Amino acid sequence: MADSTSLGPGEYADRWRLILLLDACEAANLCPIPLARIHALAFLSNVLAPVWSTRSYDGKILKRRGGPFYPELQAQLDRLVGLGFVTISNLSHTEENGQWTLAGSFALNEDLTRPVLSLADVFTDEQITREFFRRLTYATSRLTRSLESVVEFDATWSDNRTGEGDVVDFAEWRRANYSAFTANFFEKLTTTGSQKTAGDKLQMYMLLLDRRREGSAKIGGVNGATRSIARPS
Amino acid sequence: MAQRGRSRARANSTKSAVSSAVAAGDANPFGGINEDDVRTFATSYLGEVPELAAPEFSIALESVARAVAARMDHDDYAADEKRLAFFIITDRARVLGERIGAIGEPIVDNGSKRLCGCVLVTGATCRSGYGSDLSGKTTGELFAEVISKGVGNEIALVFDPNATEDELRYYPKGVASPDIVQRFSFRTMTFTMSMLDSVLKRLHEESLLTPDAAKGLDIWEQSKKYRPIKDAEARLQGLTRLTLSVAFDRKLFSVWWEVPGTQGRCDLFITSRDANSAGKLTAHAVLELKVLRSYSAGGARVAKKVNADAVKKGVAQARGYRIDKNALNAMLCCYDMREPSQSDGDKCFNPVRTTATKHAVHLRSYRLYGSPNDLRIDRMAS
Repeated sequence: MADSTSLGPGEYADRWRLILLLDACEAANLCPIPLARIHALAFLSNVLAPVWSTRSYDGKILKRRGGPFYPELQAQLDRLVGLGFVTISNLSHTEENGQWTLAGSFALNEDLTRPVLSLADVFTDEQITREFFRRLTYATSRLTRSLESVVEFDATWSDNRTGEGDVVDFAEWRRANYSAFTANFFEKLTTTGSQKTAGDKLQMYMLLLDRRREGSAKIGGVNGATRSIARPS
Repeated sequence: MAQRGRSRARANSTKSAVSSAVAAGDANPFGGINEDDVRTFATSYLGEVPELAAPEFSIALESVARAVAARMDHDDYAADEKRLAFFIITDRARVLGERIGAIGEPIVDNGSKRLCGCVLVTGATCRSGYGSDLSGKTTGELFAEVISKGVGNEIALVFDPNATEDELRYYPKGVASPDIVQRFSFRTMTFTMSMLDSVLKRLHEESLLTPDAAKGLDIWEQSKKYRPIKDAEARLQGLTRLTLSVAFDRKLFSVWWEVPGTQGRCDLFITSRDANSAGKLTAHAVLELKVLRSYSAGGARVAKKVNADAVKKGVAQARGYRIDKNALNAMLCCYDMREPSQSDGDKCFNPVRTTATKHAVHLRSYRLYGSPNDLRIDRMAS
């Protein structure tokens, strides 16, 4: 990338993550993807990373009313747009706490990112991350509701011991990743051997959130959703 | 600070990948979700959720089969011109679709979209895509038209509505290489053991017989040395489940896997819902799968007794699951991945044949060659 020499490791990692996330969105035909959905996906990739035996990028997040949002990641997304690696459509701006952010729907610039993604295939960690992100977006593409509405029902995000405006710390100073715990719990009810059923757990977890969201839409509210899970006919 | 935090998160999450994601003593390790709901949900969906760890082509096959079946069930399907439907499977549907001037189709899997006479550029999950109508009338014209659009070398699945038996044809090198094709039976409406045999035989011959046929399935650690991967049985189970799910009509049949019961977990279990008798389930067959090995994934020799014991145990398991599930049939499928000097075809069943017959367990052996040359030698000798 053009200015990679001036980047700190965090910014560099954020750009890699964004490109790999958008690559996965392209693979699942989710692009152009709206801004809120990218952040929802980034959050789910963080809490569900242990299910795929890979690393979370961020172990904490501010609990906002509008859903997951990573300011540092957003800054790098804006930068990638500026550099031409990411294209934006349906362009608008949003303002939060005095800061303006580009809003719209995002997609990869295929020509510019192809060499970058080829490079990702050289490194084992990036290969694993790329595979994980793709399986996550495949699971996402099967949702009946938008991801940004489903993510509110995530086990970690919806835990009411953390209120809005507080930091949800699930893997930084605390071990409180309820999403990974729940997804891994399926293993106890299905088969043994985490590696071979990682995709299954991801899919089931996303379906669980979808059903919780569906239940909420019928009777209203996150809290009511837990009694509304029913297998569709 | 942000950097330190991020590094710490990575270190922690690496640990959490192997240990617990939640601290011991946490009163509610399910966070905002009720544990009972997780259990209820898991029980409801156990064995029916598509395996996302499967190879991408497997996901695509199942997804396309689902989309085609939905269209065939739609009232408008009768009026569709019965021409080929092409599905170009790519991880860049948007880019490729726009390049060939196809139109964005937000929904393609619920039966509302006509598929015959179209080329649809889509991802592995086939929920949406980019479609373009084709003008060709004959199979040859349609193939040529797809190639002329510049997508002839892309992975493709083709549905022919005029075939005697419904099938999906998988072109791993694209329709420009029509000779390289694997066929998957599709949407069978009735269950018979001969139909089950036919599906499993086709799967074996077209997707498993040699390492070339099995390319992408990663069932061999080192094929020439006859070293299957460690979890070859699980991979084969996944592929067989997928193939059966595609083969038998999804509205009538369910293919379950790892179904718990009093005698253990049944590898595969095929049921159908009786359309004339609301809610009545027919348990058609239980399948137990075994891999016979000469060597482990790491290269250690596997004793003959281990394979003999696996066959013996497989018969007992198939019998037990059949009784447990009140199934009409039981089958033991042995995938023989042993080196040529050890492979003995159906003879591996000799010690258990009487027991299997007594307990109505069907025995099937499928030979997987480590190299095409071994297949040729075997065919020449027989």
